[in-house]
Amino acid sequence: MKKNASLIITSLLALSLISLIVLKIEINRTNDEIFEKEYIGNFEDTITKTETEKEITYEIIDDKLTYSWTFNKDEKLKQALKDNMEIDMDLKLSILPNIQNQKLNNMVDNKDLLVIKFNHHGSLPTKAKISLDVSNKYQNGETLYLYYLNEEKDQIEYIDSGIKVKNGKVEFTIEHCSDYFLTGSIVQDAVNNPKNINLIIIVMVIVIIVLIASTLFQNKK
Amino acid sequence: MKNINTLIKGISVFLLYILVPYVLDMFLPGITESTTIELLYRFIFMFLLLLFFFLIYKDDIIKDIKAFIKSPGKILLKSLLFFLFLIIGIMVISSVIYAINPSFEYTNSGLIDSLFQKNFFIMIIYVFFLTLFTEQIVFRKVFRDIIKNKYFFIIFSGIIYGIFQVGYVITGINDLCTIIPFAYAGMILSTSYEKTDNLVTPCLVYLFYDLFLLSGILLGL
Repeated sequence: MKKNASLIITSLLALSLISLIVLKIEINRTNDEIFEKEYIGNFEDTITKTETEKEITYEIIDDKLTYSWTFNKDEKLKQALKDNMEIDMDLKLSILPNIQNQKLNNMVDNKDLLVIKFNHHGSLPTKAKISLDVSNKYQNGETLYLYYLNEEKDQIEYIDSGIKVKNGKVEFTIEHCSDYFLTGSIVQDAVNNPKNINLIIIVMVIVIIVLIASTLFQNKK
Repeated sequence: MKNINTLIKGISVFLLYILVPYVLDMFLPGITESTTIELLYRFIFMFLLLLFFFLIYKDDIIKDIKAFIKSPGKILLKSLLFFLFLIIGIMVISSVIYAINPSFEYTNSGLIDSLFQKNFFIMIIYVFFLTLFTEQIVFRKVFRDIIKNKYFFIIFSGIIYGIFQVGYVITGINDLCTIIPFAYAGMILSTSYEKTDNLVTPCLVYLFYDLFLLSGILLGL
């Protein structure tokens, strides 16, 4: 009885953790509808503001680049709008073919990268999803990593991975503006590099199958 | 029925070992920005997990400890022998890989070094206590209880151990060779357990190896 109780508790704990992970993934899915679209003329570029119930998107087209900013309409953004946050030159960004800081540049083996330099430096009122046209640099279907160039600490920090090029564009989320770069391969010397959970899941499944097979084989004997 | 119970218990323990760190990765960065506090939280959760594993395999672990207390010299001697096999083998394997691929480096070595530099004492307890016991229970005890064929147990648990040591950070085919030294280490630890039928032996081999590595870090090698 005592042994069965520990067995049930262990199984329940494992199942709860699986449910928690599935729930977390499910919560991240949202649907939204456009209810306002507005053209804003600003700093010689074309800016289109698209507003939905949950998001505000600013699409910017300048002579070299097409990109957009999407903000979730959460409390932080509402407060920032109340405090007269203006859409201005801060939204501008530029791209460079290489890292200018020599020390940080030496940390990156793969030089096939795209540096994203934001005009604004510092925190954003809320998280922003950036969509950037990278069709001149990367092919559709390529998977990229996003890193933050922390020049104060002289280190490269991992931000995101699995960023897919779709219709010539990539999408990623940032919380503060500074210098970032996209690259096709992992930077080994970066801080907080990702964990390859896909491989772990595959191996986990293989282990479970082998253990079950082994037990069944024993039972037959 | 006993086999099925052992299987369910083993799979659940294995799943918890994989899922708890993953769930911590999902939630801890949102709770605190401090690396030290995050590591401390991680330490507490992993300690609770280890305690739970101890309770599940309490009878067997106590039996092994009693056997060790009865004849410590024999087990210590065997552990030292396996430790020698371990370091010599790893040196040979690493040299061969270096000869084939001069850019080879242990994929997670940079991260571990940086954690040791920032949180030396927490990392010492983490590696010398938590990782040591948890890994022996999961990769030795769980696998041995289910897989009865000793050769299959040694090879399979060794490979899986190797994958789980560096699998999280593997991103390409070139990184795959980093699994080999860890898989070899896993096979030696499993052999030591299989030969002595006492979980204390792989724990001691692992402890000797950690002390060997720590002396290297302290001497700045």
